[in-house]
Amino acid sequence: MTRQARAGLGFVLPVMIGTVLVLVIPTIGAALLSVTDFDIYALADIANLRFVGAGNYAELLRMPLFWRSVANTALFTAIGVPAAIATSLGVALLISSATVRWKPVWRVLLFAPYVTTLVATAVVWRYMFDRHNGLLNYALSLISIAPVDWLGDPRTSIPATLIFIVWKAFGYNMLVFIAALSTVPQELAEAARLDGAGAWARFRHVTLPAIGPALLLAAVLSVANFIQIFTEPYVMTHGGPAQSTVTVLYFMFDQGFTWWNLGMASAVAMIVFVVILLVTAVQARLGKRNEWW
Amino acid sequence: MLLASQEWGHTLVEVPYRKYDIPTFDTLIQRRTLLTLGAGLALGGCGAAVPGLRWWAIGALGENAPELLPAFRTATGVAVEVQALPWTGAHEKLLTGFAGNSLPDVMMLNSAWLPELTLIGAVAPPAARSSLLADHVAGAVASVEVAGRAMAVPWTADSWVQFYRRDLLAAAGYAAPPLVWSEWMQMARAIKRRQPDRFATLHLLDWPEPLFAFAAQQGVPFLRDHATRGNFSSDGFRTALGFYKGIFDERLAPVTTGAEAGDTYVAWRHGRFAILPSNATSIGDLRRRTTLLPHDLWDVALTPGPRGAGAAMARGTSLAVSHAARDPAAAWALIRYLCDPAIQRRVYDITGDLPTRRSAWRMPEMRTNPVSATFATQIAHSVAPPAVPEWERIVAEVQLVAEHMVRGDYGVEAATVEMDKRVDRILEKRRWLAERGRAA
Repeated sequence: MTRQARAGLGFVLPVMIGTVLVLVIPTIGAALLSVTDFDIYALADIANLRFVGAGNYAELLRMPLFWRSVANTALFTAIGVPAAIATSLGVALLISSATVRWKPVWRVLLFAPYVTTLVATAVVWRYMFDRHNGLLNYALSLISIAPVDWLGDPRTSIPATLIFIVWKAFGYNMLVFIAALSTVPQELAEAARLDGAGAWARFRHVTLPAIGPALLLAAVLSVANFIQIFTEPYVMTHGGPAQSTVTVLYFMFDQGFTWWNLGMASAVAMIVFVVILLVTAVQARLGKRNEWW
Repeated sequence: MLLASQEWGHTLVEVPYRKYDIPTFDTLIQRRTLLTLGAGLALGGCGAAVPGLRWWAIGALGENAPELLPAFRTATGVAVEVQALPWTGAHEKLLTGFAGNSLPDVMMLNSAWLPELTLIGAVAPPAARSSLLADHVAGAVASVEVAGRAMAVPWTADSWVQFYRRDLLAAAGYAAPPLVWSEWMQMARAIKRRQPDRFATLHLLDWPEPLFAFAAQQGVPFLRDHATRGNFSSDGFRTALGFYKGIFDERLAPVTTGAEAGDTYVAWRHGRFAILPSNATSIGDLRRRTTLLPHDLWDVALTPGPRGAGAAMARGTSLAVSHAARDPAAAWALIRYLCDPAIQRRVYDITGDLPTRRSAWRMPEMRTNPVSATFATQIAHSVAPPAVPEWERIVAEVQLVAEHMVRGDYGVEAATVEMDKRVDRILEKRRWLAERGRAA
């Protein structure tokens, strides 16, 4: 081993040890748990533990609530990721516009939701969504739209929760996009303008390719985050009404910590793990093909 | 972003007995609970260094517990550190505390959790003929027994009654709600006819109490085959479920859950519904809000039954010493102090939680006050839940199916079949253990 390699190893080793301790070992532990029926009885006496092989996975695939939670999560992700990224990008473009004054003030104001406490803001939003006294329904009443039971109707509970999530989270990607936009060479945009490119053509062919990597990064992180949605429905709706906001992670939490079915909860965790791995791989490959990395 | 604040999630909606109780403005934002939990987290790291006893108390009792303790400290010199838990997070916290070996010395419990905590060995039982188990109202000691052995000491007794608005019932021609199902429905329809946009009662869809009260009146056990299978497709349960569904079908109660209900008492004050079925928590809540709801505006009545005043599920809390108590003698001393009739009587004054000690019931006002007297009658006519560790989960699952039924996903018949199916799946492990003679 050369001196250089030894030094490299020295730098990497602490992180490697940390990763193995807090990531690799627990993941293996969860994989092992997921093939047992570890529950309250096993907690009482380990002799009550049964090896069930793929039993938990088979049972999960038979559980309507699991599929419901998968469908809810898919819906959250399918609407939430485009909505969140479009909001972030739109706001970033507005703020980056040369005509906007007081840029730092706008940045701080728009970033504020991201750094405020999630539970506190969720409580405030619950009042905004209130059917009788909520601000949102008051606004709707001004344009003669009948009050909507935002969090109480299984059909509107996911959109309502998403409004809150997007509001809460768009600030982070907004900052990423603002940073990316500032690297777009102005000369290119000006050259395109001289060649007669309109605003949309300049955005499509100059700005978008330049911020491509940032966009991909934001998409990967957003998908991974949306698949792991838990706190928002837990705080706003407790998974209701009629389990319409139970997400996969909420389901896992319920199984694991409310009912102490750790075997089943670990099986859910392994499924989420594999799904996120796949999604990320697909997106990375997509990015490579477009030469965005 | 999504994971960092998970632990705060527990503290948001303070709803006694898990998700089943009254949402109010007070309970939506529990500043004190947040602070106490924060302090608890901070102390968690150095728990062993804190002298004296550690006590986990739940809900309003937890928040007011510090008021009870100075006298104990003066008498014994033992300092007690109370950590207040919200009802929504308490059950999880106890199980996690056991798994992580961080249970306190003394625990306040929903007595229905005792079978589960006994199974995992989290509680140290009182001596079999302990004087702590004497002088309790009927059924109180039975509620803390697991396989014939008392595992904790009953602390508060509770059941499920109807709180009603006198003025709204009077306007419909009733002095009090009738106690027979059919007459009760007549009254509910009369209230609805007067104001079709309002409701006769409130049965939040995440409250299992109304349905389980109606079912308890049928005299049919909830589980069969030595509590290894559900008995929800029995005729009795089907009758109760049919009555429950009828209330929603005739729009006598709104189709809504606690998470979206807003402040229940404000809605009650505004007359959105006339009857609020609830437990002793409401006694305390209403005492704190006399300006909103003056006492002459409401009264309480027993739960209606098919042929007159009906049973409801027995509820109540108890105090247990944990298996990990460092000083069991001091822990038992604290329980003896807290279960003293005079202290139980004082707890009633502070939070409205009712005593279990007979001598506490003989103290001034307990039997003469119509509210506590009604509760006493209802408590005497309450049915204890089956003592199986899975009971909490069974209740939650059955109520979920009931919610889906109310929303039109099932008929009564199909709902009972679905309930049995789900409950049988929950009890699978219990059947496996029973076959090997190991079921608790």
